[in-house]
Amino acid sequence: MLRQLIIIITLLLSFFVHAQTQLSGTVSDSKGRNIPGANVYLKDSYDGSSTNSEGAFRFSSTLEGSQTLVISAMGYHTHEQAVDCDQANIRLNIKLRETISQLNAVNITAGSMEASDEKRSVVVKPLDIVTTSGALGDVVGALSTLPGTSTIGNDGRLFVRGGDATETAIFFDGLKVGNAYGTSTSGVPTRTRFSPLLFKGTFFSTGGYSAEFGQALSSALVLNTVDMPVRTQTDISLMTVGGSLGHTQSGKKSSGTISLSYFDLAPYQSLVPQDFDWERAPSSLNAEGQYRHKWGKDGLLKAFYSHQQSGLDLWQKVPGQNDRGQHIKITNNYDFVNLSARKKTGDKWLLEGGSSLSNNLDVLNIDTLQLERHQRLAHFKAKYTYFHNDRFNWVNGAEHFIQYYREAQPEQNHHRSLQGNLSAAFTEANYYFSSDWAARVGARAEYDDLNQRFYLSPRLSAAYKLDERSQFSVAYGSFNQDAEDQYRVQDRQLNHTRAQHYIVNYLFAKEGYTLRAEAFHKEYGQLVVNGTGGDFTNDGYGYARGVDVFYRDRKTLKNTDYWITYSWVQSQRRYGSFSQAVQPSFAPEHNLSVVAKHFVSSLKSQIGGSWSWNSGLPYDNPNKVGEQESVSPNFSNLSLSWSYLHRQNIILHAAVTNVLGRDNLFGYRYSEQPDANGNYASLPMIQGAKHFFFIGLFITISEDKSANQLNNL
Amino acid sequence: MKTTFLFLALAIGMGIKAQAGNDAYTQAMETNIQLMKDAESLEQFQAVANTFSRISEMNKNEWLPAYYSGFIYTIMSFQKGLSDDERDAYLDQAEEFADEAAERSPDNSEVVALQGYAKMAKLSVKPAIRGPFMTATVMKLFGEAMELNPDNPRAMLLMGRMKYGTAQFFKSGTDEACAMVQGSLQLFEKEAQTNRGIQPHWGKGMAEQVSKACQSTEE
Repeated sequence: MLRQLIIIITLLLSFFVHAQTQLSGTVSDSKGRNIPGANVYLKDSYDGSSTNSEGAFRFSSTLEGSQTLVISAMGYHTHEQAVDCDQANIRLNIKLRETISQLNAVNITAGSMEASDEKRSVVVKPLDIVTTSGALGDVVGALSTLPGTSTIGNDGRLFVRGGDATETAIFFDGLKVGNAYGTSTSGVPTRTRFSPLLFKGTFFSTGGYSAEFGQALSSALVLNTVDMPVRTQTDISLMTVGGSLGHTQSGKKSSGTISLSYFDLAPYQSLVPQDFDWERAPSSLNAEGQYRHKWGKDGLLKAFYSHQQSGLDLWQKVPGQNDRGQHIKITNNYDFVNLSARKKTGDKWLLEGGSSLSNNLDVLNIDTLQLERHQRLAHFKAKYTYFHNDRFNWVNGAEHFIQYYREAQPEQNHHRSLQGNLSAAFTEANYYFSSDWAARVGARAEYDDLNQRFYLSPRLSAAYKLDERSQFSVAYGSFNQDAEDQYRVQDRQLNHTRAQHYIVNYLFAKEGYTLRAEAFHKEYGQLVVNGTGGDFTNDGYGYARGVDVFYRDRKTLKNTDYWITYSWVQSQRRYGSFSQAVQPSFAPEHNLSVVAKHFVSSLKSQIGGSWSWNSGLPYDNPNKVGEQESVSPNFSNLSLSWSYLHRQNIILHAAVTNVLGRDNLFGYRYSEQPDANGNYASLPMIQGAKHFFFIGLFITISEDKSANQLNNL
Repeated sequence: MKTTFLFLALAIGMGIKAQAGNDAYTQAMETNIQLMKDAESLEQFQAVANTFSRISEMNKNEWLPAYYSGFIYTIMSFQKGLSDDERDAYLDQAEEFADEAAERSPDNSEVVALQGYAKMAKLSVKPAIRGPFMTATVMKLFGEAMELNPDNPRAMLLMGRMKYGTAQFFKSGTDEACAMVQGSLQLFEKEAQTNRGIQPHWGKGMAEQVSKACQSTEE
């Protein structure tokens, strides 16, 4: 009985009587700096404390035996260690390892500019893309104010660092877009086909980009669509050039958007005199549908469809002739389908994939000649990212492209076509040695079944953080791109054109200020040139080198945000029908742009201005000795815009380009044959009109009255 | 007999301990809620948040400790002298805890309101940049919280405050926003008549402040 009593008493005592253990110590980081506010506690107990401003902690526990001490703090890896609580005093000095996060880690910024809100290394925000005056709501228009680009005023496409427009590949949710620009004719500027409102983020690289992106010699532009719109709303736009109507229905699991827009410049052109001889002003009809569905907890499915039809009809003077010249009529039909999926599995894996199909049909009537051009591009892609930990992740993926091209003169019963397959695989590892030093190593392999060649392109980049505000990055990459369709359709054996990029980048970012400077060298090889007998060879070569500087300040002037970009490009290349390396027409040597936005709250208005300038485009004058020996006058365009927020859901936007009324001249066109005196007749290449005026009214109707098309500004 | 006695003693002992566990939870919560109310400096807030997260670790089925951790990190992000990055870091924590609370207690008006509050705070770090694409999400969360419990004064207050801020940004009328804040004050009165214990009961002071701002703009 007594023994049992002892047992019971002991048992009961064990519940109520404990020996006390004192735990104390300090918590510091790997550099020995104190960590205040760390949570220090014994696992599965209430016993614990926080470190004070000196990084010290002290608490007592009645637990006994071996216990686990846990130390956690914001920005550090949680540390666990066994302690023996039978001791009366435990003293510990603990070091925590820093976690590498977006907030503290160095970023590889060589070549790239990301428009996103969440990364500190960004130079532009998503909204900047649509609020840049002079861009008139065109994604590429806004990007042309960024370093490394040249504004070619009579073209409208994106020209990067001495490369032509085909050297920039455009991706829509990771999938390639074929014929991303509307069809136009020489001298009439075009636009990108997609509204900037579709996109939540833009990644724009002017060189040295990741192995994920191929078939682009100079640049990759990655546009990512909005994930899930949260609001059901109807958007109405009335503009001097047309109108649009869109509706978004938003649900918990899925959402859908449909929109219809129609643009027609005819009424506008009847009011504002034009310098081009229009028979029928450009017009376009665009229907779009979008569907997104949440897939489980961390998954998303997106579907997008767009149909566009457009046309223009004009007369272009021919050098040496006095009549209206050549009659050019273009009809374009375009369809784009994009399906993409993204799914996280566990903490370690991210799977992404999708497919896109672009289908473009042009019918051109040039005087009495009818031409048809049909292009189709299918892209399939799958990739996975493996997140080993905060220091290491690894991306692997595979892609397949099916290309179809056909050109025909139906009346003459002439046609030729090609169908090609290109398969690619890529791998890339990202490693952070510390939060100050990161490296990316990747490679891309491609097989082109048309010329039956295999291509391997390594990519390397690294970044080093000097201090909290500044960092250096370097990048090297090898790039290849198949020859343009109109060459390949004549010679399927043509090799891919190639480029090597070498980039050094410096970035300084402080709240409200960004300074970015980059130097680059790009070596071109295997460019396509016209052979002597009407054939094509890969004998072309060349280089582009230069420096660009970007400075942005959102702080010094109240309610004002401005940026200044200067790009210097020196480029020589042998391509096309040139017999030697020349400065190409699309590579002006000096490029400058200044963009400013000022918010006047008393007027509920944002006033914006942008000025683009370049030192002139080289052109070839057959009346002079040499090739590309002449340069057009400086190009200059100052645009102003004004956005007025009438009510939260009604915005009025007005813009005018070339306020100073400069007569920009892009060079001269020459007659094919010299006249009796041996002179080639010439015609200046001019702008379509001195100014472009735009007025638009944007109305949003939704239950939530604060909704507006602010993004439209 | 002997075994029964032994068993009984053990059972009683265990019972006491279990009871102690439950009491310990409530008591720890009560003590810490008081500390939260008294906290002023970042250091004090951090210590309270740490304690809540310890309680949360120990009581994996309770949503309140995670809720309070999330709430405190949100409050911390509003402290003066913090850089944008620091504010974001606190708000990342706040969102993590609010999401944790939402997992433990789905469709809980208080938790949804807190998720909205943390998002609103994030928006306020860079209003000009984040406003356009985050406003809708914040509004939606507050709307959802009000729908889940129309008597939740915090949901209505936060919605009113969000609308007030938006109206000020756009220089439009604050009538609707102020009416909501007034409405939340009535709900706070009603709430004050009950003993909320460790349930969320903050916000009356904030409601009075916004209400005061409303009156001064009227004048």
